[in-house]
Order: sequence, then structure tokens, then C-alpha cells
Amino acid sequence: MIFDKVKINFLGCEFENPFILAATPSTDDSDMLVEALYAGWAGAILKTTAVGSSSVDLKYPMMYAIKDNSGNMMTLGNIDLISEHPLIEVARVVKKLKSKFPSKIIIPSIMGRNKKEWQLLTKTLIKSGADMIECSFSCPQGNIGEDPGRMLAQSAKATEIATSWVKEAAKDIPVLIKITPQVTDITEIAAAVKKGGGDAVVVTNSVLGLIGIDIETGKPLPTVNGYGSYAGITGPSVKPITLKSISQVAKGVGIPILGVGGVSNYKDAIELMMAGASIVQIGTAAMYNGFRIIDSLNDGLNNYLLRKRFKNVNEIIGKALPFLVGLDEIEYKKEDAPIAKINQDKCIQCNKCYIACYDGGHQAIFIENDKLDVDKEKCVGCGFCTGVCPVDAITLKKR
Amino acid sequence: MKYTEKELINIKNEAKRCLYCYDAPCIKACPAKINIPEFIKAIAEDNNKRATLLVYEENPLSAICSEICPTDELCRGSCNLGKLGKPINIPLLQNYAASFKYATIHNKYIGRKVAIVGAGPGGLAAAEFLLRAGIGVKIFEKENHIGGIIDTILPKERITEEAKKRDFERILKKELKIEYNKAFGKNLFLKDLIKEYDAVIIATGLYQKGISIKGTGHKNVFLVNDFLHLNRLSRPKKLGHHIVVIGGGAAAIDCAIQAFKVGKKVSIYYRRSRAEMPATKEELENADNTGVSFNYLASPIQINRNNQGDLFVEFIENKLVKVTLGRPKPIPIKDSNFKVKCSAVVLATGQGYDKKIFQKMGIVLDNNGPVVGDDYQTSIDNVYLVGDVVNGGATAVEAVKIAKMVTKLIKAEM
Repeated sequence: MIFDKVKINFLGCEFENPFILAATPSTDDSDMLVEALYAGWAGAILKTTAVGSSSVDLKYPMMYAIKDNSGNMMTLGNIDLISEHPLIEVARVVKKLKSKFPSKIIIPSIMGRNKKEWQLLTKTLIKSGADMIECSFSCPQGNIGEDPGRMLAQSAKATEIATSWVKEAAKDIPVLIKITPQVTDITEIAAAVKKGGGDAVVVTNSVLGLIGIDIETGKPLPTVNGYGSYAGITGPSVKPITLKSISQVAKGVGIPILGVGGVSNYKDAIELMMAGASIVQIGTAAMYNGFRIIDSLNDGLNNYLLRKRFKNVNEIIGKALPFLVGLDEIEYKKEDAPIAKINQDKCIQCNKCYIACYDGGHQAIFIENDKLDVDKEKCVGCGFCTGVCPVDAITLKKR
Repeated sequence: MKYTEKELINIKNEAKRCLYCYDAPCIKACPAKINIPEFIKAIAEDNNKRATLLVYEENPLSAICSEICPTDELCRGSCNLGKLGKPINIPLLQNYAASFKYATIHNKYIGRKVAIVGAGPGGLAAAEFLLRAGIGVKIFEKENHIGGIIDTILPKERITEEAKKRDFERILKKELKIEYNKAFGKNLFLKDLIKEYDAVIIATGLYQKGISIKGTGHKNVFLVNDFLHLNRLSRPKKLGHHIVVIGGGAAAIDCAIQAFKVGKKVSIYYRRSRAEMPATKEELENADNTGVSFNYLASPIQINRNNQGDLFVEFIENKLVKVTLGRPKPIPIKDSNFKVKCSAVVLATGQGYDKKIFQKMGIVLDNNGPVVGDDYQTSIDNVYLVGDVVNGGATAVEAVKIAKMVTKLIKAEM
């Protein structure tokens, strides 16, 4: 299949589509990477490597998922760490992939403890053919190279300095800095990346959370030898955090963005791009469904661009930003409040909107002759019912 | 009940699919008024104890009813998700909820007692509701076992032993006294019960009505209950090439389906058309799928038997005439008589009351049976009717509904 609309040039590199694999266990094995690239991914971020990676102590089980009512994974927590492969092995994989797939974008991810390590990692991997270098300043779980629970990307100053070390070593090879949403102001950190000479930011990393507690045992999940720890949270439920972070950086700092976090399909990807991301990284969804999802991502995006008559994918990048403002900046008059309208052809009379509006809203929905309707006087147009309705029968209309 | 791992997955998924409707139609459609969305939510949340107690709170025959209720016309048939083509399988979930042994709490004995005549669905449900309220109960049963129609007449395919066992075990407690082989008209007298008990509940069910045509005494001509009872035996007697079932209700359909066990060909003859049949759509489809041949607009005149043992049922064709109230009336068409050769006949033309027994007891009757008020009280104070005997033959869950109403009234009076 040819997806001619989805090609994109990013930091001087030609991407056949805007989808690359994020650094995950999927990208820690050269055979799996070969399969993924054959499947059609534009490139991959290799799982993060460090100096002395082989001494990493991974602990199992390392993942725990929250599912929706249909059994689909909604939220994943992991206590995974970086690659167990030594730097020399990762360099070999980069070389192999570049010789097999010269046009794919191969980006090793690195994590150092000091200037020497950051520069050694950068130089070694560029020598073996890396197209770009991603620096993990923000892995939330574990504490490799940083104080426990403290990430490099939580300090603007440290971010700027470390970025400059890597850029000094990388020279004209693009340097991508992966930052965290867990800061008071993400734009300060992105600005520090820019100031330090970084070429782009990767927004964001997994969000630190406690994925759950087993109520039978009272122990945190995932439970390792009777104990648990905070985990990196990914999956569909982190998308709102990703969108917020990307859009803040896009609006506040003039720096190219690779978006990552919570993308399951082409629609999610379009949202990330409209928030300001040029390239979309996908981790959990590719692990969950397999590399094959690249087809529906490309096809979905391509058909969307055709249907909406966009010339190419660049036209959607940052499309939502002009409309994203502070709440107090939105001009509004009382008469602008919309009103809920129930499509009787769709309504199945479950009465969920009725009780939700009654106990959680403005008691504006009433039942008459087994039909649900909206009291125009009482409805304030809050929109809660549209989210309650299981069949999307309620929409907000102009009053 | 042992569920397989996959069945359990299906049950849990089905429970999670429930929308938890507000003012849900399934509750309204359930005669026992089980709080269906609430017990399903409990299953989805792994609160099995709550699910069990919720279903049994409203219906002491929850396992049985989950198997024999016409759910496509009740709870499942009313499910809002049915409008999208896939209603929640409520009987499956109710059966699951009823598979746990969490006990319903009973109040302490308050020193009153009620006599219940008949240990069928209505009598048992009434007994359980009264015992929960702390009222003493003694059941008088004409057979030597409990269950009534469920245990003697209902085809074995319609209900599992497991379901009966589960419900009966919950009801049969040491506070519940039962005397077997006691029947009105034989060795049980209403006036004695009235003297000894604070209230009497008559839940004796219906008696099979015969029909007044010639030849019903021939060999291999059966009444519904006898026929179904025979078919419950482990090796029922074969009844030959062609069995004719006369009638159009649930019992006729049960007989017709069961008749394939003992006969080769089965035909139903009904005096009106298919649209007027009292049997449910589901029951009719079942019969269609089993290969029952349906014949409409025919009333039996007489049954003859030749020396070879062949039976000949003579029918007359009917036409339907609209009436102001109720189903259209079948009117015989002159000279349209025809004969059907067969090897056995089952008369499933309806059930009724043993009028004499009620008259003897002094209970006022009209054309429809014993007269009761809104409170199901008969013409005699503190004597109530429950079950088929009052509604003219319906479902077990209807009997439960009446049992609940009557026992509430009895409690209130005490």
C-alpha cells in the first residue's frame, strides 16, 4: 500500500510516515526490530541504554494492567528499567539495522550519570550510524543515574547542562530530549533543552503512579516478592496528560516535538499532531496489539487526510493550538450556553442521563411517556449527559 | 453448580455489559420484582454474596425461575440492550447468582402460625416469606414430596435437578414443618386448619380438566398431567406411530415435545389459529424446531378405537368470529368433519378447579373459580389463595408474586 500523504521531513530526515516505535521491551531485541521495520514503521527508538547496562537488575513481574469492561487494556503500569544489553551490543544493533534498512530512522536512547558517560554513549552510537540520539531525562521508575525519585528533567538547569553535553558530542546529529509531565511548568524544561542546544523534545515519558493495590492481600501492584513500587503509567488513559504537555510546549517554546503517550490508533495520533507533535511514538499499543497496527495507523491517517482534503500531514501539526487558550480568555455570554438534545432514534431509554442529571447535574432531564427529554429552562448545557449516554444519543446544540 | 472457567468468563463479561439502567424495564417486567441491575452489578464487582441475597430476597425460587421463566417475554425481553439486538442474558446471571449458598437472614419466631396447603411453587414461596418474618409455618402436601408441578409434571428437559435442589434446600429448614399425604377432600379439613392457625393459605394448584367428548376413556387417551408424568419415567412406554395433542397452551407444547420420546410423529390440533395460542412465541418455536406438526381451527368431536387398537379422532373445522372482548370465538363449520388416525391422544385443553372441594369448604365460587378480593382473601376470613389456584394457571414466578403479596398482608394483620 502506498500512503503518499503521510510522509514527513523532520529535523532533516525523511520519515516514510510519522509513526515510530517508542523505547520499550519491543525495541530491545534486534530480531523484533527487524520485523517491526519490515511491517512498515518509519523507525524506532531503541530501548534506553547506559554505560554498564548489564548490571541492571530487572525485577519481575514488572507490569500490571487496568482493563475496561470489555477486557481491553486501558492503563499499564511498569517497573521496567533500561536495556540489559551492553553499549557495544546496542551499537552493533544500530549498525545492523542501518545497513538492512538505510531509509528507516534508527534512534538509540541513552541515559548517563555524568558528562563522560553521556558523551561516550552519544559518540559510540553515532559512530555506528544512529540517525538521531534520544536522551531519557525522565524515566520515572527506578533511580538509575539520579537521586531516588528525582529525574533530570525536573530541573531546568540540569536539563540545560546535560543537553549541552550531548549536543557537544553529537555535533550535527539531532539530539532529542525526552522530558516528563511531572513538573510544575513543562515549558521551562523544554526551553532549557532549547537553550542547551537540543534539537527536539520528546513529550512525554510515562507518568509515575501507583497502578493499584491488591485488596485481597493489601499489597501494591505489581507485587514483587511481597512488595511493590511506583510504576511508569502508560496506555490510553494517559493521553490527556500527553496532549496537555505537548500543547504547552508547542505554544510556549519554539522547539520541534515528538509526541508519545496514550496513542492506540490513528485518531489518537492525529490528536497528538494537532496538539503540536510532528512525529508520534507508540509504545504500549504496539506491544499490546503487535507491530501489525502500523498498517491501520498509516491507512487511517492517509484516508483522514484525503477525506479532509489536507495536502499533507504537515497541515495538521499544531492545528488545535490557535484555539487553545486560558479559560478566562474565552469570550462568553450567558446566552452562549448550549442545550442538550436527545436523538430519539438512538435513545434506548436506559434513563442513565436522567439519573445522572438528577443526582449529578441540574435535574433538567425528564421522562414522559417512556421518552426522555430536556427541560430547556433547567438545562445549563454542562454536557455531562453526553458522556453518560452509552449510545451517544445526546448532543449539545445551540439554544 | 460447577461452571467451567470459560462459562465464568462469559458470566462476568455479560454482567459487565449491563448498562445499570435507572428505573430499569427488567425489574418492571419481573413478576417477582427482583432488583436485576443491582444484582448484576454485584456479579460484575465480584460481590457474589450480595448478588445471591438480592435475587433470593424477592424470589425464593430464583434458581428454578432462572430456568423455567419465559424470560424472552419478561426480563430479558424487556432489556434495553435488546433494542440494539443483544439483550443481557439475565437468566444466565440469575442462575449464577442463585448458585451460592449465602443464607437469607430469618427473623426470630414471633409466636404466630400459618397453615399452607400445597408444597408447589406458591406454597413453598409463601412458606419462605413467612418464615423470614418469624411466623411459624406448617405445609400440608398431598404427595409424599415437595415441588408440586415442578417436581411431577414439568418435563425433565425444562429444569435441572440442581436448580430444584438449590432452592428447596434454602426453604427446607427445621422450623418448617411439612405433613405429607394430606389432601382436601380426603384427610384434611379447612375448618380444622382455621381453628388451629392464624391464617390458611391454599396453594393447591389446578386440576386437569377433562373434555366432554365421547371416547376419552379409551386406552392411550391421556390427560396432560398423566402423560407428562409418564414421560418423566426413566423408560417411558412407547406409544406408536402418531400422537395427537389437542390444545394450544404451554402444557400442549410440553406434551408435544415430550411425545417424540414415545411416538414417531406428533401433531397438535388447536381450535383457533396460531395467533391465538396461549403458548409463548419461544415455546412455539421450540415445537417447530422439534418437528411438531401444527393444525389449526379444529375442535375434537369424539374419539373411536378399532379392534387393532388404532385411535380415530374426529374433528370439526372452525371459523373465527370476532367478539368484543377477548380472543375470537371458534364457530364450527357444518359438515366439515374429518378423522385423524393415531396411536395415542393427549388432551391438553386446559386446567381447572375441583369445584366440589371448594364448595364443600364453604368458599364462594363464580364461573372463573374461587372468588377472592384484591388481597387474595377468600369469602372466609384469613383464608387466602396463592398460585395457579387463583390466577387460573400461570408461571412459577407469578405464584411467587402472589405469595409475596399474601404473606405481606398476613404479616401486616398480625
